[in-house]
Amino acid sequence: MNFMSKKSFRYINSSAPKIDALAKARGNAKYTDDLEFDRMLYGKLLRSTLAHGRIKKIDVSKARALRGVRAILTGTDLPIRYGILPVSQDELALALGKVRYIGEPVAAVAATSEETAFEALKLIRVEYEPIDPVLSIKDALKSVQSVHDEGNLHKAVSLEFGQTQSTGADYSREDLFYYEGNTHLALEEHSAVALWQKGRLTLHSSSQTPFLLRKILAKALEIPETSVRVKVAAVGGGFGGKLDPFAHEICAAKIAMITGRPVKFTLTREEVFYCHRGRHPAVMWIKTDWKKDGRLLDMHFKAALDGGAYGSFGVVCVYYQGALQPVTYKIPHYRFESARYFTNKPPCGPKRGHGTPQPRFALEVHLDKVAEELGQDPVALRLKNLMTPDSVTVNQLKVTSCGLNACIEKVAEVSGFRRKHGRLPPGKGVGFALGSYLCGAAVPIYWNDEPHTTVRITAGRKSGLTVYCGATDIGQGCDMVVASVVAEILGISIHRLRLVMADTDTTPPDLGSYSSRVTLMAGNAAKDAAEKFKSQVLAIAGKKETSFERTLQSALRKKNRIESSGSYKPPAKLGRFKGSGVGPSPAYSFSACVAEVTCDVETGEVGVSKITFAHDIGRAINRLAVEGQIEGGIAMALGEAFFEEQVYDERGLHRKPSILDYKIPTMEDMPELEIFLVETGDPAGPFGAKEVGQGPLLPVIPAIANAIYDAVGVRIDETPFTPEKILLALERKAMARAPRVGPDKFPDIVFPEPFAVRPVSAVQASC
Amino acid sequence: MPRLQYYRAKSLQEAARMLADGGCQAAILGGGTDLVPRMKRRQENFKALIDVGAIRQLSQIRRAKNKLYLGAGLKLSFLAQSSELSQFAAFKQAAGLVATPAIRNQATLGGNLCIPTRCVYFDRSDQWRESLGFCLRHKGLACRAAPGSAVCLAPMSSDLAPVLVALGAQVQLVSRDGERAARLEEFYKNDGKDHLQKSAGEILAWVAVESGVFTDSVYLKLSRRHSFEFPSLGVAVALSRRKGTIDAAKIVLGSIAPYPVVARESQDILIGGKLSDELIAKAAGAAARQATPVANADLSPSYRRKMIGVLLKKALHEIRQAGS
Amino acid sequence: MRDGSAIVVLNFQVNGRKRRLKTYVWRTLLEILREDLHLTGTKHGCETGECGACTVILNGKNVYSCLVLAPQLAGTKITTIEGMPAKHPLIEAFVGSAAIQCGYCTPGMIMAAKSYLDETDAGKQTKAREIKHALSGNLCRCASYSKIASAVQAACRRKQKNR
Repeated sequence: MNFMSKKSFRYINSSAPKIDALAKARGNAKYTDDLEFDRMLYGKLLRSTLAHGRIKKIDVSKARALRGVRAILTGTDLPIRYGILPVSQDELALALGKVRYIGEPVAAVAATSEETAFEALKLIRVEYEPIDPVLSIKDALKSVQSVHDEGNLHKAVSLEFGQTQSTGADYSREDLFYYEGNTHLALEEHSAVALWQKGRLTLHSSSQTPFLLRKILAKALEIPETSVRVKVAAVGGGFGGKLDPFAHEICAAKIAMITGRPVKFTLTREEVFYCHRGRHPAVMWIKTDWKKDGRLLDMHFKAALDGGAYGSFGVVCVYYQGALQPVTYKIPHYRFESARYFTNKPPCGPKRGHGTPQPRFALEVHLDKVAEELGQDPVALRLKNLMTPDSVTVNQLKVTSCGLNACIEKVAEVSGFRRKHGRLPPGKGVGFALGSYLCGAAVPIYWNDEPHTTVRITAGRKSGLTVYCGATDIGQGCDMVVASVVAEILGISIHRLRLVMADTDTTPPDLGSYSSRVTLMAGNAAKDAAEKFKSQVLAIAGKKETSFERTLQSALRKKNRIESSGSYKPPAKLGRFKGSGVGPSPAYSFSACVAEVTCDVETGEVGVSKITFAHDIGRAINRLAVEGQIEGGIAMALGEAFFEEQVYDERGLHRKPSILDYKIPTMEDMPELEIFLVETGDPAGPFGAKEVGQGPLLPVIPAIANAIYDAVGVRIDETPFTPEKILLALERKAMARAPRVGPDKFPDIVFPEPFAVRPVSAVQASC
Repeated sequence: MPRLQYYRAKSLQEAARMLADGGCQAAILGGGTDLVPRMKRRQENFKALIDVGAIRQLSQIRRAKNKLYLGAGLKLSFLAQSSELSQFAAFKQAAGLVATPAIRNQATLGGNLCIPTRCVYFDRSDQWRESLGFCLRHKGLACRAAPGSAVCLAPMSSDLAPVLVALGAQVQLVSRDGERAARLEEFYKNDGKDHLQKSAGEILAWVAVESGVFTDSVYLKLSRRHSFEFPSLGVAVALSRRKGTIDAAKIVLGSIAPYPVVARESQDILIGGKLSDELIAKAAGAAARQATPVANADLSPSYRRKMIGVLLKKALHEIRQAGS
Repeated sequence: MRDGSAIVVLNFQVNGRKRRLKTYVWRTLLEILREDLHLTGTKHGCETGECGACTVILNGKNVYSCLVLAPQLAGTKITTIEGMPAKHPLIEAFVGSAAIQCGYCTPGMIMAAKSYLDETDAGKQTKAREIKHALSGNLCRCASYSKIASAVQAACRRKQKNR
């Protein structure tokens, strides 16, 4: 059956309520901190109050003597280094010898009550010998102090693609931008509960990647992976912040092993700010060469990332700074350099968009400036250089479906962009931008030949129909995706399915909820499993009954238990160069956004009156859930555009470690939204589906920046767009200086010589 | 929460006695919406909380001649919707702008008027403040926001205080040794650490506002988001106009200093005149001179200072618009 | 000081059921609900009244349970998410309008919405602006905001019809 051409589905493309919605609405869904066990101990972490220093002495004697304290750990108890990436195994659960950021865990306590654990923390004495902290890329470059022995440069890359630099450019422009660091702020604080029973560890955690966590726990605890089980309860939001392995997870496990009792660690809100792993602050430089008719000839992009104290996903973020620009536009010759530096601050890592929102901001604002100088409409300039379906990008990424044209036309038409741009009364403006994102990283974090997701379906005469899938629902709705796919293919009610998810003992492996992989990869695995299951049932039953339900009952009368497995592995990437592992994906999503703003030139306040948004989703598995994810991406973008700053003072102390001060939009801060789904139907996705978890955030921030320029003629080339910056830019404009706020200089980084990647052959590209 | 002893007062007199007995270790518990977070962060060291929530007297509204007497225990959500306050538009407005609906359901009038000053270096957990090395206000030696300062400059954070000062409110303070009335304008002082002009044993029991004094009032609040926020700046204006001519003006700036700053120069400019563009601009221009905020709140001091004039101008325009 | 206590014996109602509890005076309603009564539907997101995740209804008004101290509960009637019948218009509307993504803010949102619904004169035309204002003290990072507002709107309309 060709699902691409089928017009009506029962579940696919419907607005059926999510299967987990009722439990969540009634308060019955269990999140990790809701779990209780008999004789459970409560754990707390003592964190460094110094950004950089040697640990001279830790005295836990008074804490150990406190009534109710059952275990205390320090760095010597967990000396094995680990990390989320194989190339960045640089973390310890508890600092040993040295602390590298304020908030770094130094000791762990478990007691019979939370209150006792807090009291015990106060009784632990740590003596530090301070070292001058490295608090910026500038500091890191000076190399007076080193965060790590190997120096402050974590990773630098330099790649070049396409034809040798073409001549005949009529126009050239370069720009500088800065994107401030910010953090996930999932509403549920991180939590983990560990149990040690009969020589096996079970860790319940609010985690986005149970299978990777299992591997890392085994390493850190020096036990076999077969002795570890990770189960993920309901997750109250992740956005990338719950992908890394964390100290509290490892300490909970270790203490459970030592005491034999269940141990729960739930972090306070302030602690979550110190866990971080959020958006890298990035200084970016971009230069493009053009023909005067608006054809792009050449792009050169440079990024400098402030990585914080440890690697996390940083190496991947370094590559993402340059990976997706060529997915949106055809760039004949493309060069990008990117470097990440260690600093004495909480580590940066993956946050929704994962290293692509910063360059997207720089690119889309730069293009807006270019359009103005070339006398072109910003939409027309994009259209002249747009990616097309079934192409290979200059950096050797295979684009299959591409709904950019449809997205652009939709938002331009509905918003009245062409009519309004440059023509609204002073103080009002519209801005336009595009975005692209991948549908799952084609290359796994730990390279292996295994499928990226496997789904198992079983049926028993008394045990019903069960779907086992290791994917983690962090709110994006993957439980509903998997259930919808299976129910659709089998032709049964979704309520007939029992779902067992995210349990490393019982569900087959899934790589985790990151890089927007779950709908495409777990969805495809579920589809494969369901198709195989259906065939098997039919073969066993011998004949097809009036419904699948009856056929299944008939088959179960002949065989007690029926089981099928399906899996998914992405196609091999095209590129063969170092760094080609970041960027390839089975498919890409595309988005277009028009932001309409009103700017008060007296207060500098910007009000976003409307966001018009179109997203090429391939096919929406569930329409309302997809709209919800788009609204979520837009809201987070608004937060990053106006409020969110993960910033530190001269000690390395976080300036705003509270929800009140950090600030995310409330319901009253949201503009009018008009959201359109463009359904191009990608052959790589289940029923043609692509991603929606991360793409929608990308174009909103530059669209707002461009709208501010249209409204009041100033460029805010750095986030967030605060009222102070807008007033400052207006002041500069009034004094006939460059009406801009933004960086003036790119850091003095000497990048390696660019590695010129040879183009793929036509034969390779067509595979 | 830290450990503490709880006391339930059945009358104002009993509360005053308990407070006197407890000394500096005791505090009044109204709604608790600010006290509880502060205690959780270990900013306060109270060992005893005296709950005044059961004292009926504190939740009453009484009218006597031209005066409205409001019990300090009245909830902000009630005040924001009360028809009794219709003639005090800015008061209702301000009450409805505090924090969020849930907080307004618990928070009290007295609590908001007595709310401690706020500072980005102080309203933090004890571990954070330890990393900072503490500050002048508590356990430390230097003011982190204004390093040379000998006194704490944390600004007051009440939305209601500048409005009620502008409306000429009076407060009744009850202690074990007696009662006294005070003008709200004189209830505050220029010390972020201890900004209330009352002894530790005094309880703010009543607020009295006189009707018929002002014909127009408005309150504008500067904050980044539409809800959940403390004011980064508050501008309260109360005018008395007869046939367009201003015969009384009260302009009070909140969240710019430990006490509500009365913008006397701007007031003097307005009196005797009419709300023309020129007069408004002149009054607004003078306002910024009357305060020097420091870097201890959200939004930079220079921005907040600039916004004094901008918000005052908007407030006066709003009054003019409403009157026409 | 005389007359003070560290322990309180509380008589109060939770979800229509009488409860008697002996606990420390410094404990919050949020802790009592989750730890003593095992009603884990009410969530914590910050514990300092900055997010709304812990919203419950106390004597008909929505409050942040992380800010309510144990003794303040004496004689009160508390409604939590667990006290909402499965077929309540708000629950059905939230589920049907896709107002739930990760679900963590949901119990608090529904409590705030219920408080609004109960106080709103169902004869009036409910303005979207009013709903947004009523829920302005509940953060949602998944930002299901417009769908949450639609759900509350739908529940209001249903209440109007049922009158």
